[in-house]
Amino acid sequence: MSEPSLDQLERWMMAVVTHPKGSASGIESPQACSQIPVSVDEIAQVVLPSKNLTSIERLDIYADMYRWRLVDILTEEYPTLSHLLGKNAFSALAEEYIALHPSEHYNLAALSQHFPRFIEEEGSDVTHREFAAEVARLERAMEEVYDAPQKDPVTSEEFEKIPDEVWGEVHMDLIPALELLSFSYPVDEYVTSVRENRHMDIPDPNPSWVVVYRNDFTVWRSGITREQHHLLTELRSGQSLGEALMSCAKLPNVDIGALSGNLKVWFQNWTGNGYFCRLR
Amino acid sequence: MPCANQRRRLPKGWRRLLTKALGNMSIRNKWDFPDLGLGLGLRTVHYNHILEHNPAVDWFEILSENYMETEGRPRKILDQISEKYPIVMHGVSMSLGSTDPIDFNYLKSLKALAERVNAVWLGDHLCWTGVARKNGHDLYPVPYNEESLRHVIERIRTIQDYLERPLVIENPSTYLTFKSSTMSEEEYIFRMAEESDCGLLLDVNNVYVTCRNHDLDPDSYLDSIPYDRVVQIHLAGHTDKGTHCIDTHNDHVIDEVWRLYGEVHKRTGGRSTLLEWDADIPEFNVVHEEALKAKRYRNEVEVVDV
Ligand SMILES: [Fe+2]
Repeated sequence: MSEPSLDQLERWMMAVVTHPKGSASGIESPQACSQIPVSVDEIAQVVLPSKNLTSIERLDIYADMYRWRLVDILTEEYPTLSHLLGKNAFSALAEEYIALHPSEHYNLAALSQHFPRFIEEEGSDVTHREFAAEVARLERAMEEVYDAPQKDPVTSEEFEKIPDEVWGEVHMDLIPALELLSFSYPVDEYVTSVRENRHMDIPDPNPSWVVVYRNDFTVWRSGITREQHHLLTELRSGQSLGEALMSCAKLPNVDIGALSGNLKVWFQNWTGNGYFCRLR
Repeated sequence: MPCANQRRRLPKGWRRLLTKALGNMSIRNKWDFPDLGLGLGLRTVHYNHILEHNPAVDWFEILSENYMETEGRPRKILDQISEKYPIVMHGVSMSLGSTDPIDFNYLKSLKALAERVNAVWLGDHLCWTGVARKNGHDLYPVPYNEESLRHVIERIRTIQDYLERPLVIENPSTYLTFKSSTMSEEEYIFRMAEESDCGLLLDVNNVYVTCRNHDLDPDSYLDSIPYDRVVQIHLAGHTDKGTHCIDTHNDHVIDEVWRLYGEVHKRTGGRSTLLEWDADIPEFNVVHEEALKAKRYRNEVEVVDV
C-alpha cells in the first residue's frame, strides 16, 4: 500500500476515532475506507502497535476520549435533564446527538446548540419527551446568557428622568444577556428543586413563563407572568411601551386593572435587575 | 521500537556535551522573552481565591478559548487578574497540522484577546484538532514525515505573520505512531522550530508520557531540543495505566518528571515554568505548593547569562 497523504490520513483518523461504535467499527466504515481502504487485520499498515498495546487499542484511546469528553460537557451543561432521564439514558442520548450533530466550532459552548431540538424531535426513546425538551431549552438558555455580549444596564435614575407625557413612545432595548421563555410545564420550579437536591415528581402540565438574565456577571432565573412575558417580548421586538401595552391588553382573559396597577412595580424591579440597556 | 528511523540533524548528545562545556551558563531564548518564574494555569474553581487573596504567583497561563467567545464572568475575571499578574496565552484550536484552511476568524479573536490582556506570549500545540469542518476537541498527532512538516511550517509562518509575534508551540502527549512517520518527534520539532522560526513550549510531562507510550528514552529526547528556542516549560501529573500513560493533568508531578525538569533546567538556566492541573483540581494552595517544588531544581543551578 502506498503511504496515504496527510489529508487522507487525517480524514481517515477522524472517521475512525469519532465512530459511535469505537475504532474497530470506524476502520470498516465507508467514510474511513474511502480515505484508506484497510481492514482491521491490516491496521498495522497505518498505525503501528507499541510494546504493550495493539494498533486498535492505541486508536481506542482517542476514540474513548472523544466520546467521554463530549458527553461530559453535555452532562455538565444539562444537569437537570441528566437527572430527569437518568445518567445512562442521558449518556446514550448525548452520544446519539454527537454522532448526528458533531462539533464544528472550536468553542465548546456551541456544541449543544441543537440539543433542545434534538431532544424534542430527534432523540430515540426520550422518556417524558415534551417535558424533557422544555428542561433542555431552559438549561441551554442559561448557557447562552452566561456568555452573551455585555451591555451596561440603564440605571433607575435614567428611568425616572423620562417625562410622563412621552412614556408611551419610549422604546426600551433589553440587554443581550436576557432570554424570555414560555413553557407548558412548571420547568423553572423543577430545575430549582433538582439543583437544590430536593426531590420533585415530574409535574403535570401547567403553563409557565421564565426570564433568564445576567446581572453583575451572574446568571439568574425568574418566574414571570404571561403578561410580563408578553410585554417584555413585545419590547424586545422593537415595539414602543405604548404599543406593547396595547398588545398586552388584547391577550385573552387579561385583567387590565391589575396590569396597569402593577406596571410601575414591574419596571422598578426590571430596572433594578438590569433588564434594559437603552431607552430611546 | 515502533517509531520510524532515528535520523537526526545533529549528532546525538551534542547539547548535553555543550551544556557540560558551558558549565552552569544559561542559554537564552532567542527572543529574550523573560523568565517569568513559576506560574499556574488559571482555573475557574480558583477565581474567588485569587481575587480575594492575591496569592504570590509569578504569572498565570490561560486557556485562550475559555475567554474568546464570551463577554460574561470569565472575561470580567480575566480583566481583573490581568491587571495584577503577567498573562501567557495557551490555546488548543490553532490546529496547525490540519489540512482544513486556517481559521482566520479564530485568529482575529485570539489576536484581540492577546491585546486585551497584554499577553507576554501566546502559543498552541503541535497537533491537529479536526478536519473536514469536524472538530474532535482533542490534540491529534501528525505523522512525522516531510509532507506534514512542510505543511505545518507553512501554517506557522502564515499565522506568525498574521499575529505579528512568534508562536510558542508545545510538544504533545501522543498515544499512537503512524507507519508513515519517517523521523522521530524530536527531529520533527527541531526542524519545525528552526525552519518556521517559532518558539517552543517544552512540556516535560508530555515528554515522559510520549516516551512511555512509544517505548522511547526521554533523556535522549531532551538531547535534541533546541534550547535557545524554549520559551516556557510545562509540568503536570498524568495517569499511569501500566501499559501506557494518559496526560490527564489530574495529580501531582511524578519524581521522574521532576528529574527530567532538573535536566532541562541545567540546559536552559531558567525558563518560565508552569504547573497544569485540570482535573480533580484541589484547593489553590495545593496546586501552588506543587508549582513551588520547582524551586528546588531552579536553585540548584547558578544562573549566569551568556
Ligand atoms: Fe502542557
